[in-house]
Amino acid sequence: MAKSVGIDLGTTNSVVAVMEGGKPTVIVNSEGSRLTPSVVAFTRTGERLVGQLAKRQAVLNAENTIYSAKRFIGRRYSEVQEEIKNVPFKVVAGENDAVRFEIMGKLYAPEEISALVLRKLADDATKYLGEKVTDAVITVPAYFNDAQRQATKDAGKIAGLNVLRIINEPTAAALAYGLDKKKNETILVFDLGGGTFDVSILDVGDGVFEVKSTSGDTHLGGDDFDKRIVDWLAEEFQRENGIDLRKDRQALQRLTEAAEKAKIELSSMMETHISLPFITADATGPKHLDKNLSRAKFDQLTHDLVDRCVGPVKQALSDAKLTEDDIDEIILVGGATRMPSIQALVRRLMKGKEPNQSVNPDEVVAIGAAIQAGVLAGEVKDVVLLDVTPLSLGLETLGGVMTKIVERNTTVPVRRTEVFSTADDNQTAVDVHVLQGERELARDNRTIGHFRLEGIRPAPRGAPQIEVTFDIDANGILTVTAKDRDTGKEQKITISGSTQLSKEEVDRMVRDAQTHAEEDRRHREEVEARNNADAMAHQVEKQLRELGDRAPANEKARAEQMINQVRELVRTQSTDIAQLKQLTGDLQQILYGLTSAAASQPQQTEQARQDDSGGPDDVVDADFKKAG
Amino acid sequence: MERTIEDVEQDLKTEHGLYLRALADFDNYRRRVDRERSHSGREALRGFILSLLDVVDDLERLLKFAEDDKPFVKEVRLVHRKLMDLLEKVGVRPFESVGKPFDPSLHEAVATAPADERIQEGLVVQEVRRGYLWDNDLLRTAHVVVAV
Repeated sequence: MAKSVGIDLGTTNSVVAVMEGGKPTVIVNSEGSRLTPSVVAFTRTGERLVGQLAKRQAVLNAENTIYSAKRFIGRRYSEVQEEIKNVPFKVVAGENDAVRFEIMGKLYAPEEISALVLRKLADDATKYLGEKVTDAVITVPAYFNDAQRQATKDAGKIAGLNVLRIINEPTAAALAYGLDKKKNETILVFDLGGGTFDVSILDVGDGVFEVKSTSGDTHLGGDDFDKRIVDWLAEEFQRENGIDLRKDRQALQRLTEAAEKAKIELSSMMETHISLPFITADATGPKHLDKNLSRAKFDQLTHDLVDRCVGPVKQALSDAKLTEDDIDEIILVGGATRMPSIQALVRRLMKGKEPNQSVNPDEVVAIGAAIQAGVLAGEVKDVVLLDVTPLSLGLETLGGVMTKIVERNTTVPVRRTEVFSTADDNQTAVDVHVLQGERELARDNRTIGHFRLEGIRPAPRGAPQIEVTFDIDANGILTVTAKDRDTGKEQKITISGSTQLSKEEVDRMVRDAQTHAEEDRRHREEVEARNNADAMAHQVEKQLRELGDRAPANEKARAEQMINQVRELVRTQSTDIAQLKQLTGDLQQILYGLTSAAASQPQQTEQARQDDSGGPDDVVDADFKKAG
Repeated sequence: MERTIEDVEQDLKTEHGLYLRALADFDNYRRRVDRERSHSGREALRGFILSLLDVVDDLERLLKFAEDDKPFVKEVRLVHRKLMDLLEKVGVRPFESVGKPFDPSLHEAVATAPADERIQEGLVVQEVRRGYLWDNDLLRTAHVVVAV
């Protein structure tokens, strides 16, 4: 069966994606990359090169290497005078004021150039899938007029593709996030690509998208940010060494690559190191460039570029007669939206609302187009949409910590089982406290259920095996079952709607967990330190009891004193991890001593457990908190 | 015994539940595999080797300026040799470009130079960055100056 693909035909780069097993997958091109430069070259030997290969020879053949064809497609020659100034290839007027590229004496329409890019994408997709690609959904900017849309459609036809539909890029992005299923929402799409910036506001209802307004800046993108770093490095270097690196082609090449790398690193780090040894040389010898660039400095170098994004957002809102309060969803598109300064700007403009950015911003448009292609080709209709748990589910264990059983974002239905034990000797009941959330401590999470399993046969702590199963069915209904392996007694609770939380609620809980991660981790460590100390005190106490009078008196006195100290620290919920660890270690030493003292005694029953991870092999994690 | 429609419906529901579970398992499996793949394997190694090649470039730039009678130059050459041997062991090796015809599947043109009787048009005059192959696949293009 022939496959249909989704194509994001971009100004600088294009992406192709396909539905595979009901999931959109971005296709890797024949050069091994997910992005294909929208560049076509005609070489002197009569070859036509497309994509990465065309880009690599652009320096040699600038007048016959066409890029940014999207800026010309479907437009009149008289409309594109400004664009012509920015490109090294020859743009001429054809019949009826049409735009034509003159390449080695031959005229080409922008559609023909775009067709070559589309053909390559379709061919690479065919190679990747092992089946012929014939149908495609192609995206265009929301502001494209009828002529530009028609020309894009023609490009598809010239490429031999059956164009199922031309859809708007922001609509494709919204489809990638499944927003077509929303009732009535207003979506703002913020698309900052390599060289263009688009803002679109959409309305969605009953699966239909309507563009309310568009705005943007046709010459603003990630490349401008790179250039700021290049200029800064070059100016600093010139100040220190009196040499302008921008005049040296090879040095400039290295600078440009290093600048882009630095920009990318600054999206995840606060500071990056740029080191270009032997960047140039003069009479005094080789020169090196060695600089640190902090995120703050980078933000300072580019703040005016960031500010240029503000106007179009405000414009789009006012054109749609809306305010930021009317926006329900924000989607980030384009690699440049990975920059923290851009994300901060979007949050600021949208009054702190969190943008959608879980889908790779370089690929989100192609993914949405692939979903649309799948729907149109009837592939998507019968796909079962599987839900995921929006938050982790687990239960409270000793010391008030949450032990996660089902991690967030696990696809349901799912069943997970873990084995727990008791916290006290002769404990006959356990409380099962079912929790939802991402925080480390039980009290910071949401309680979604509570029950008690009774009738456990009296046994030393840690001996009973209580099997706890979390089962979530396809409808999101959670059943928690606790079963005593010894007696077979079980108790369960069913909680419906564990996956049905509002997006805001989920976002808030996840955000809280991130904000409190450090503090929570410390709390958890404290609890673990107390649990470990308490368990060790218990072991030593037991050993002392077993040895009775055979225990050396001085050891016994020292041990008892330490046990009391531990009990006191546990009772007062001490947060002194160092002291607790010290006591645990000391008690362990004593336990070793006592164990060897008892080694001659045949009635020795249980080997000492050394920490909380001990116990029977299949008993996991932690002990239940004491019942009742 | 005759089965009622309810029985059959119940069976269908059970079977459908199992099917959904299998689908969900597969989905979770795929997510895990995706995650593992992005953290390990050849692709991760590729990123690392590419960063390492940056350092090799710097070392070679240094050696270009170095004179053999200066202290430590021989030693630095040994270190360089060792690094190249290490790369070769995982199948990474440089390829020659100078004097060969420009080939966009291997080369990236960064500048041009006038052709003369020695070097004819379309040939690579100079290599600014060495190109590397990894098990015969292109790992990194050579940055070259081409005669025009």
